[in-house]
Amino acid sequence: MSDDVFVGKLEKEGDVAYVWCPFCKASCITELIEKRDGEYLLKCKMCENEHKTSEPKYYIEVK
Amino acid sequence: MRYPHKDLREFIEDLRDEGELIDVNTEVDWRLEIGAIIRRLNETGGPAPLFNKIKDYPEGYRVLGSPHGYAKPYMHARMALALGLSKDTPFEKLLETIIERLGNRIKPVNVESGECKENIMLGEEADVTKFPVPIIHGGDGGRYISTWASVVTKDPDTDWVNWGMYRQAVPLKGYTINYEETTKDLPPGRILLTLLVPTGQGGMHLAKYEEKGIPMPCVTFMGGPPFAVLSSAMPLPPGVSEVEVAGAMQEKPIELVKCETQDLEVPATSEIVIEGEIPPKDRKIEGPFGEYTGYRGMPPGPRPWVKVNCVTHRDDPILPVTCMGKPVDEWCMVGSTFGSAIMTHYLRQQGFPVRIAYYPPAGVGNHLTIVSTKVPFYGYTKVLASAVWSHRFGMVGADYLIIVDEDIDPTDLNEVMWAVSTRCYPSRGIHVESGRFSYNLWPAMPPADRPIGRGSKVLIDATWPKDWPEEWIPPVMSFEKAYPESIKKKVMERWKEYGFEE
Ligand SMILES: [Mn+2]
Repeated sequence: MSDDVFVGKLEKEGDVAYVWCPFCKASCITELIEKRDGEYLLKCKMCENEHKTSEPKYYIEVK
Repeated sequence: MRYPHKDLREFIEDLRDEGELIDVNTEVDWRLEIGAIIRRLNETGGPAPLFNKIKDYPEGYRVLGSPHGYAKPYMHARMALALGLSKDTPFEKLLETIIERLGNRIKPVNVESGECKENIMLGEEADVTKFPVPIIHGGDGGRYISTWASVVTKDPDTDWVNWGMYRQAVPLKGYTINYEETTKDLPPGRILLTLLVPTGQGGMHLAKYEEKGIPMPCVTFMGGPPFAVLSSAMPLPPGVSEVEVAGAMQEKPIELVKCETQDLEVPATSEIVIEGEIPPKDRKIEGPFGEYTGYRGMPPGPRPWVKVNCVTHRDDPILPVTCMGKPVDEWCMVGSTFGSAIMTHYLRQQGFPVRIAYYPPAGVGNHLTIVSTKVPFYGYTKVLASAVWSHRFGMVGADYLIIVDEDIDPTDLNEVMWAVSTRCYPSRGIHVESGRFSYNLWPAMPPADRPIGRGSKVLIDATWPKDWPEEWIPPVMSFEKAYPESIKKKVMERWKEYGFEE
């Protein structure tokens, strides 16, 4: 049985999680700016770029 | 010179007098600006900045950047000054001074009170956000308060008190993962998210408290005499008391005062003291952070945290900050001075005829070790490699071990690479070892191997083979070796006459 831990979850505006940033080409602290029609508008705290996705690629801590 | 320094302020005066410190009186932002300035100074070998005016903070609340960073032209200038030596002291002299002082540990003395008690915030009053704690790198998961600080813990079963350097973050909304959850019972100013790994000495203590199911008293201090914090970054073995080594380094006992709420002691002249305890087996998400390896390597994860119950500080407190990252930062400097001294001392004690062992800053303080040595018998270099890797600091580092002959200055990477290129025959001189323990923050280690630290090491033997007859070893063509004494003397005497400077 898997008990993987998501390192943060993006559910409401202002949430931060560790997700893939297509600009940094790395997982970064990322803030959820807006979630609308299943699309997430995200802002990377490293490069400050905004990007959109329908499925944020979370970093998962494997226990 | 004010050596031995009573506190961080006397050291700051010395740095300023020696041109190793700049007062930054322009207002700077604790959000990334301070971090970016320190980082750039680390990469250019600039002076230590003392930030005197910080946005959102009252006059007098200051940050000292890069207290012992890479300096130009004398790389180890701010280490030499802490030791009371002139800033141009040659490296091998610095090393011999440290080795000599290491042998003479000095017990601390207890005093009734000290400057660190000028302001006391107890219980709900305690608030570490009262200090201008910076966001150091882009991408950090919070404000990092302990980048140049000592974390004091005590073995619950013995008298061993450890001072270790472990990063600690103050949660910040919009940067810290699970911020709401993290701060639901306490304000952010009373929480220190702490990276204590089980192989570290603070982590060993925590494991014992957790087994007993009791909170671990944990106190962090910043400032005080330079070696109070420097000693906590030195690669000393478990059981050794850093406060005695700090006394040894400054040739004078460290003065300690009792904490207000914990049965622990801190230097009387500390700038800031944060007292608290780590609840057993409770974790909050910490990280990520720009690390000493020069990368933001370790992802965020569940880590221990300190519940802060008291903060004391001096009037007009100074928070020391280092900006870990691409070499050269403080950790590179600590490894290259104290790591080198400790390893050299150990190898000599074991009877190895080494000139010195050197950890160049480029190896980020522990991953690359160069040993310059006499080679007394066949097979010696492999015996020496075993000794380096058996030492605790060699076990967690020295992943790349280069052994050179005694005529090579290990602190001069041009000489070292010349020796590797000309004396190391790959099929004879490169020995790769697998299944060795290595430190799991090493970026080259495959992620799957990190949880258990399954590492790999290499010995690069750049010494002339002991089984070669003398006539196979070519003479060196250098100014020193390729000319008769009479010619060298003549050339040196007439150097300026030719029109050259020194
Ligand atoms: Mn220790």
